[in-house]
Amino acid sequence: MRQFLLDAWQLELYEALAGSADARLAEIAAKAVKETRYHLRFSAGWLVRLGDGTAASHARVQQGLEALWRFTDELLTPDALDEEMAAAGIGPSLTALRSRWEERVGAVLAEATLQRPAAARYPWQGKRGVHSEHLGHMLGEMQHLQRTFPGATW
Amino acid sequence: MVTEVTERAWRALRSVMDPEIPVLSVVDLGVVRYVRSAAGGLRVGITPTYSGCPATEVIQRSIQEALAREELGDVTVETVLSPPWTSEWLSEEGRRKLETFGIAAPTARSASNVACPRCGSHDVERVSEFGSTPCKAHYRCGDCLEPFDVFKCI
Repeated sequence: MRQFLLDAWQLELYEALAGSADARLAEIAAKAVKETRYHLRFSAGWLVRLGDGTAASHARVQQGLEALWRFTDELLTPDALDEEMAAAGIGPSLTALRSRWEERVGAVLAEATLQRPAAARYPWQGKRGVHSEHLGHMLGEMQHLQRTFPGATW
Repeated sequence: MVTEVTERAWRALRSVMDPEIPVLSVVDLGVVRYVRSAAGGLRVGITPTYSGCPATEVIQRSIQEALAREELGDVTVETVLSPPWTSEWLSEEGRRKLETFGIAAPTARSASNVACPRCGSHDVERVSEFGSTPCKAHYRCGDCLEPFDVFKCI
């Protein structure tokens, strides 16, 4: 479910960035868009199979959807920097991206016989650099090797 | 003289094989975009295939080593991102080699005309979007019943 929500977002993001005023970003996005399309086909295919599968698989993905839906708002809500980038033609307009994402996700959810959750309020601040306690654990895990063996390469 | 140097470079590049699919050279794959003789020495343009392909770094290093062995003077290997690599750049010879190796070549934009590389049957079924490597999908033949990989079309 998480893969699907993100794939759908990334496809919209890269499609928009392929037309970015920044040539390097546009090149990378044009390359990424083709592969993201494949990833989305994969995750959407599984979502339909599980959502429209047995009662047990349906209940599980519906539960997953409800657990994750509140986190999608941050992907789709522009902050001041996003707006500045969009105005400069470098980044995408997240407002336009939201409607395309909702349409795409909505179509797959319908095919998967899943119920789209109501908009949930979640006080995200990740874009402002304020994270939940989970980040500390993740960083601890990811930095473990370099902290134990400073400068290690392999 | 100039053509001789570029010709030797192409010949050396034809001996650089993909470590994952050892029957294909980087020229067969369409990874080599150009070999140009310039004032500062030879310039070789290469393009990455699938993003995140673990073989990319090995391929780049092998290309540099193969060119160094030829003693062609100064050689600059440049990464070209645009236009992005497409599986359509796989040469005709490369497609043949791939099929002989037991991997179905990418089909033009449509998954419906995948043929079993073993018996040629079109009665095939997709088992998974991702096969033995992320750049391949896994299929099964309904006629000879053998499983096989399909090089993804991107």
